[in-house]
Amino acid sequence: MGLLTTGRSVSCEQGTCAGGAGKLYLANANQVSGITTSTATSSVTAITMGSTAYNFYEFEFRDFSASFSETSTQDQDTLAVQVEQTFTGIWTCRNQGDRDILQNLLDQNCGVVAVHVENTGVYWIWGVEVVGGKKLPARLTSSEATSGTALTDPNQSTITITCRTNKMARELVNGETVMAALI
Amino acid sequence: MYVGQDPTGKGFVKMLIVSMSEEQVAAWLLIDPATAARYVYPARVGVYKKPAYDNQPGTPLPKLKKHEQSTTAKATEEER
Repeated sequence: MGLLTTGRSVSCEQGTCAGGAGKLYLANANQVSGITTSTATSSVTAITMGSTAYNFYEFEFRDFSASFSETSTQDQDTLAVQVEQTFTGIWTCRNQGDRDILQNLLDQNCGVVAVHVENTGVYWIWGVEVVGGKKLPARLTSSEATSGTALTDPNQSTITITCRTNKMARELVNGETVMAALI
Repeated sequence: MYVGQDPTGKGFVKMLIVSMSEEQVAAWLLIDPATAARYVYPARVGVYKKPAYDNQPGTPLPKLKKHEQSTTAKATEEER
């Protein structure tokens, strides 16, 4: 990809959508062999796992707490490109199960491949791009847990997963079907 | 395991790569030569030498040859 091949228009039936993100799916990056992209749009049409034993794990968050952001920059002088992707969400009521998941994410080196669903219904895959012959995965970069003080305070963990790469997240075509087959 | 749109464009598939038909593999190679090639082209047998021994925990190390023993002894002396 590189040269522009199309423009953008807004039709009367489109252009409105809901904000926020819903579920997040994570797989160990070393267990995802690759993605197949559409020749026409560069969206992802298939995911190849290293074995039938490997799968994605589904994570749910508190309603209206999850968000995805993607900041793409191109240096005006050097033309160096960087894309930084961040998914943040909140898990309520701290417990041992959540602790183990987070500790596993902290203790590992391989990173994760992430798929998240936005409230528009679109599935996005990231942490899977190969740069310089190596996959640049997403990682747990922050987990902030708090008990709160008063009874009405939130007892929760705020999780941040980040990926630094040079390609933007891609849409996963038929994401619901693909992810249902992979969890 | 391949999960997603059938490379031939006929719906959704979840299947082992070894179970793919020739038509599916051929179509996959056209769409995604990088990933597909890893599975389609045969392993380069004989290109890389077999390692002298597999350094797994619990595996006894092979006995050193005489010239290797002397080199090790020299190195130890130098370290002292």
